[in-house]
Amino acid sequence: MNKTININLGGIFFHIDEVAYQKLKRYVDAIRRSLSDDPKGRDEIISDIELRIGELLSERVKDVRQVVSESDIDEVITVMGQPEDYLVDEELFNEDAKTHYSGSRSQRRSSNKKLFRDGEDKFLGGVSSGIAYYFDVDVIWIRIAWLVATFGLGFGPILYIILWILLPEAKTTADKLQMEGEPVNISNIERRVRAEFEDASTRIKDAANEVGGKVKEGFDNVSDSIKKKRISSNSSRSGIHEFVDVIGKIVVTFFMIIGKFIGVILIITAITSLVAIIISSFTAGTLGFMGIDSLFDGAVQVMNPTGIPIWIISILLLILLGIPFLMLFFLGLFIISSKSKILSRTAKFVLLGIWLIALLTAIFYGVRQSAEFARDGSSIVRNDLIAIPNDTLNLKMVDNEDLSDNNNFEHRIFFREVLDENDAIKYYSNDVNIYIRKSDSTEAYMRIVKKANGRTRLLARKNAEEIAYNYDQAGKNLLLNSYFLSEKKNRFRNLDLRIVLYVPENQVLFLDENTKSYLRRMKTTNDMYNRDMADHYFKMTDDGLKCLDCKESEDGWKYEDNSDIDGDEVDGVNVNFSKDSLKIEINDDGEKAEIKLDENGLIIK
Amino acid sequence: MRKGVLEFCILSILQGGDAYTSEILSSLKDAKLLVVEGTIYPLLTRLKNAGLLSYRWEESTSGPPRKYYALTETGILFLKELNSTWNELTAAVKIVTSKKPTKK
Repeated sequence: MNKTININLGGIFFHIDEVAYQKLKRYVDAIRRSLSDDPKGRDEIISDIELRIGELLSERVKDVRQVVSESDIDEVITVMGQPEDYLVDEELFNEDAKTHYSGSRSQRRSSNKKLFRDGEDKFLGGVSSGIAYYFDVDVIWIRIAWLVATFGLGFGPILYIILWILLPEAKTTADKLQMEGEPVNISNIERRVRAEFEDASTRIKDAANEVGGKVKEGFDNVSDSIKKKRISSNSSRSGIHEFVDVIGKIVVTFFMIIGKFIGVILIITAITSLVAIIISSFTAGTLGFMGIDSLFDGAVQVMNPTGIPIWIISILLLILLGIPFLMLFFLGLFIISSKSKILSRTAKFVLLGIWLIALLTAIFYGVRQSAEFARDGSSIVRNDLIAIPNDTLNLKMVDNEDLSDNNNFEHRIFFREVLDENDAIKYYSNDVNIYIRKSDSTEAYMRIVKKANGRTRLLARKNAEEIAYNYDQAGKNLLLNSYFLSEKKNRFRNLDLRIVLYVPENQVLFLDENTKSYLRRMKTTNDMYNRDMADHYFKMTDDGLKCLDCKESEDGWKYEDNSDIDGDEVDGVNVNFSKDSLKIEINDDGEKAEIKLDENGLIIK
Repeated sequence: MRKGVLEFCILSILQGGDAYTSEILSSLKDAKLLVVEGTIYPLLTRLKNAGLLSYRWEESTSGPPRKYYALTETGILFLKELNSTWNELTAAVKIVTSKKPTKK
């Protein structure tokens, strides 16, 4: 007992057994496949065939209620012939078949093509013809490219040998079909085998030509005239047309090769970048676990004062940079194989989503990071000094030799990682700035101003307070540390340390030579440059510090404040200009010339 | 060996008047030129596409409309050419085949 199906074959209605229906369907599909290289005529042929099958079946079905059975279908197939029989006389339509063939081949270029060596069309190893099939260009172009690569660029032979080794030879029929980019199915394999068989048989025929020459000629005449007819009726091509076609083909080939080349470059770039990104993010993320944290410390600290785990940063970077390069990689693949379905739509959206999430996370952290530096705060400590009237106050820097080798007391603004006496990691800096001002009372005192950045003013002040700075006073000697120490986390918080020394009037100061690079510009009676102030005695006056032992020559550093510039003499050229006149005198070994420009006009002597 | 001959036969059948597929088929099968019917459909389509044949649909008393094929102007000219070629060919074959035994 079987189900029946109602079908319409060529306009006639049939009850058909399910098994018989499947058989009929398979049969028609097989015919359709075997006609696949003639898509234009295929549908028409199929409908004609269905019509005929309908006729044949209606001859067998006497009663309307009779069901078409499997045996009926078998009989119809015997009458109609196997799918291969529909291919008879293909050679006859060679011209036509060829154009169809190449037309459908270029459409099919995108389908699964594989790179093989063509053992049948070879000069050395068949590499060129394999590549030619792959790119669907004539083999001669590839061979020319090899010549260029060999004699022009030099890498040709090596590459050829590598490809010769790597590429398999297309031996089986399936391989050959794949090489030519045709789908591997029964009818294609069959067609090819037949073509090869016929190729062999024509060769045998050629050998037997002497005997049947005349016969063959006659037959050829028949088919030739059919061909000619077809050509004359179908395609009237002028020479120019063909020429343009050839040029077009060359241009298309050229651009295609360039396109593929770009694709290869994209892939290589993307792969290298991906590898680099992955390796770097993994190492950055895992070095901490391995106990090597100083390697990236500086850079990571700059980015990371909030203390986000490094692995989060690594993953974020991996996603943010990796996904675009991944897409680049797929783009390259797409260009080379022009397979649009490399990445499904959902996969693309998922990648985009992940990327956007990573971007938002990165922005979030970025904002938080920058907020860490948003506010600045300062902590000011006032320290009273014992006044030493009528005696000199010696200002001297001291360094901690356990921490540093800065013996010549240079002003260094960068940080060095050091261990303090408690074996804790501290950051050592010589960025100490000294200012000396007049005290508004009769006492001498000192202010230590520490500044730092932080998320809020309060946190900023806290950070500032963490700057460790010490000084010492021993009688008339004021010993200032030439360094301060800060916590690791505060390293990049724009730390600032100022020592402001307030000195009462008439107090005499001696600045030791080692203060030289720490002194900042301050008010002096003779406008001294601050770096020249060290190693001198000063007395605090109402107008600022007065140098007591400066030589005259050092006054030369005074900034001159002249509004008129005159006497600008260069090798006998004397230029004078004032508000309303310009005079240039040139004295060249006794010969004199003078140019004068004033309210009287231009005078040249 | 049937290269081109089938086409020649189809065109010749149509010379005697328009015919629909089954008629063409039965004449060819009677002459034992055709083993299976399937072969004819691609041929007809290609001949039609080449402009040698045309077709029209005609209602039939027993069943669905039938596809009637007819020779076109070019088809008639082409058939004439084929005829002369065929005559030359048969003559040539005759000469060769009748000579063979004498040669031996």
